[in-house]
Amino acid sequence: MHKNPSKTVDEALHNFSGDWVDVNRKYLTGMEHLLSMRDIEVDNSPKTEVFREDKVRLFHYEPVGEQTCRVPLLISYALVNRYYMMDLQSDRSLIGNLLRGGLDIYIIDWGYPSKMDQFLTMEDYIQGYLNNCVDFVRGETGHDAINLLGVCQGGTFSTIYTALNPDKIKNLVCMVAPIDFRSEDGLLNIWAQDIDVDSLVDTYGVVPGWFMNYGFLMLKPFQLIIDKYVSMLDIMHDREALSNFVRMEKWIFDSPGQAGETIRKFIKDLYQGNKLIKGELEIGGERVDLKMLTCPLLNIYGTKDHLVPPECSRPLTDLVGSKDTEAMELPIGHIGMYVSSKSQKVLAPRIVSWLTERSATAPAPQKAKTNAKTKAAAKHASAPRADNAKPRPGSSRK
Amino acid sequence: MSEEQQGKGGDPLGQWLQFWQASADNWQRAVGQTASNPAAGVPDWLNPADSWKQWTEKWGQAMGQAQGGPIFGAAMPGAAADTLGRMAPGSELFLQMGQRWLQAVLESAAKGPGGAGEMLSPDSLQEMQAVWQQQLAKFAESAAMQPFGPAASTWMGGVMNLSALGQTVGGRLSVPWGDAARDLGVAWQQALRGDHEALREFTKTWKETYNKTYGKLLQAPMLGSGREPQERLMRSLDAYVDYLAAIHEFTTALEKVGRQAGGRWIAKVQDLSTGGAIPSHRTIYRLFLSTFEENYAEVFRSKEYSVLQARMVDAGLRFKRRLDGALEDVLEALPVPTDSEMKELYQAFYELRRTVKQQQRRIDELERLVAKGQ
Repeated sequence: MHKNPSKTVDEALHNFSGDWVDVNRKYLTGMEHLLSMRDIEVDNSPKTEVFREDKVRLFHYEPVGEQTCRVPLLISYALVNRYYMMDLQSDRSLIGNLLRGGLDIYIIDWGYPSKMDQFLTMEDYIQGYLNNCVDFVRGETGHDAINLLGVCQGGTFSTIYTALNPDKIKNLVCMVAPIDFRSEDGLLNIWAQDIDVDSLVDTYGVVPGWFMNYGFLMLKPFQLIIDKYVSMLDIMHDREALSNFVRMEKWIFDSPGQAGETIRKFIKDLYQGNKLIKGELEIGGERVDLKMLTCPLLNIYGTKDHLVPPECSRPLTDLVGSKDTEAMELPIGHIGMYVSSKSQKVLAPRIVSWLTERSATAPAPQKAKTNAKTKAAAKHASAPRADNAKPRPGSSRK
Repeated sequence: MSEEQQGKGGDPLGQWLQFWQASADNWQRAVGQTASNPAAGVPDWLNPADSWKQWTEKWGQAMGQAQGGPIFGAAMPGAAADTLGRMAPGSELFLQMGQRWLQAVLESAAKGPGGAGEMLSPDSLQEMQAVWQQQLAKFAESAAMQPFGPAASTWMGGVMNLSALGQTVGGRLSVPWGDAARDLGVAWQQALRGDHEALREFTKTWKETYNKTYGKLLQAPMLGSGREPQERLMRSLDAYVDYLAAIHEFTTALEKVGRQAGGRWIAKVQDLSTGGAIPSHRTIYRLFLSTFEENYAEVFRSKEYSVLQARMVDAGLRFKRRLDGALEDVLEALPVPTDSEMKELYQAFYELRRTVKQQQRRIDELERLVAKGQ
């Protein structure tokens, strides 16, 4: 690799030729690796499906070691990508680190909405599916209030949910959650102002994942469409690095469609209307007042986040009614929040300690209140590992 | 059959060939004689009426000579000459109309600023049209129409009115293009020389002209029992054109940014090369990425880009909706449910499921109350 300037044309050509041969050698070795790759393993931490409603599934991770945090943690990821980003590979797994920190973790898989789900509203997701998952964990563990970790759009949903159901949430952690949608730097925020979301939803019903991806790729087109693959040539010879690249690639383009009515409201009321921080947002006829969110809040965001710029997340700390709030600003981007080595060293330990401290005073769990229906869900749990398959058809609550 | 007849008809193929040879000779004589006929202000080859008249006379004579032959003479004695004799004045009538048109072309060309070179300009075409109508009006009153009586003059006048009306209706489709032709041509030529504003202007003018002409045609109400699907098809076609124009406008804007970024990138590479140092290809590539990314990011943040992108997306969505509608017309004839029908079903299912869940929650609540003894 030659990065320094050459003094003569001969020298420059010599350097270029050497690099060209080197890159091609890496490319051919990498092709060998790609041809011998079979399944792309993601989502490695063992877990069990414990609850299902329509296409939404709730998983419970197998605890690792002693559980130091008394209150279980429910993770709500965004609808736009898959939850396994937090457990993409074993050596860089936020979930793995949280489990090793002693947390008892449940996670929601929102599934892949089909056209049949186009009428699902934000109310259905927040006061329906999310609430039922919260209730399930409460019933299963005997805790009246549980810890909730919302990521990205899932953070927005979790914030709204906690404001509407303050008694059910003991502590709230928000990661890279858009709350204030007014931003002069966020391209998504700028572009969303002019998008005719009615036309979009009326045309597609369920807004396709590729459409969302187009928007994400256009945020940094040269980096995400060109340089990513050019840079891949430098690591292709390294099987492990290439596997990590392919895993990330799988996650990025494993994009569920968006239920039309939900994204209609999300864009109109939040991106365009910024109603959440104005106190004008209504979910199921109920106004969302952030001052009603009174539980302890840990607000985490990245200063280099181009999807959810820090100014979109930062205000939450001061907008809620909580007396115990903490902002955690990390010099990383949106994706780096889950997979960067920096986040692995800092983020998981801080979440564990913050939750553990605030869960110590929780009352002892009552006898588990889970009814027969939810028990049946556990009995009919799916295979505990590597849940890569798309949801099975059917929508029964087992 | 008499001997004479047998003698004449003994070699039909030979006689047939002789007939065509004589016809060809006469044709050549006719052309030769008419080609030398000068007409004031009009070249020989542009004066077909006289040529045609002379040619038909000669041809008639040739056919008259051939009448005695086995084909026309025996089968249709006198028919060829009579028929030609009747055809000639009729064809002459139309040829005189053509001649009037030619006269109009030449007159307007003579008036135009650039002479014949400007004949196809919108102004010249309109001028020609006007002159032609005047010429036709004169013709309608001329002696040429007299043998056909006053009814023919009336009919001719009617035709002329219809022609003018047809011209007005047809002009809705063609005149805006004629008006825009000069701007489009100039913009296109400038665009070919790399002027991207001109390319954008070309697209804009083209789309505006389309909206005034064929766009209106595609949006016009259809008639008949199939009007609904036809309208959907036409609307989808119109939406497709709209989408293509929006894509073109969008990519033109991006391309302009790309050219600016390219210029800045080259300048940066040149800066690095001062003092004889040759930057590495990796450095050049990194500079390319950072320069282009910065330039595009700057544009992406602008309101103009956001609007342009939204317009393109919306044009694409509108096209998809209309195409879907047209496709459903086709699907309706097949034993498969359409998207609209399924949508109704999904909505009914969604509402039903929601009701069931609400009732389930109420039942659960009641069960809890019963369990507590309340």
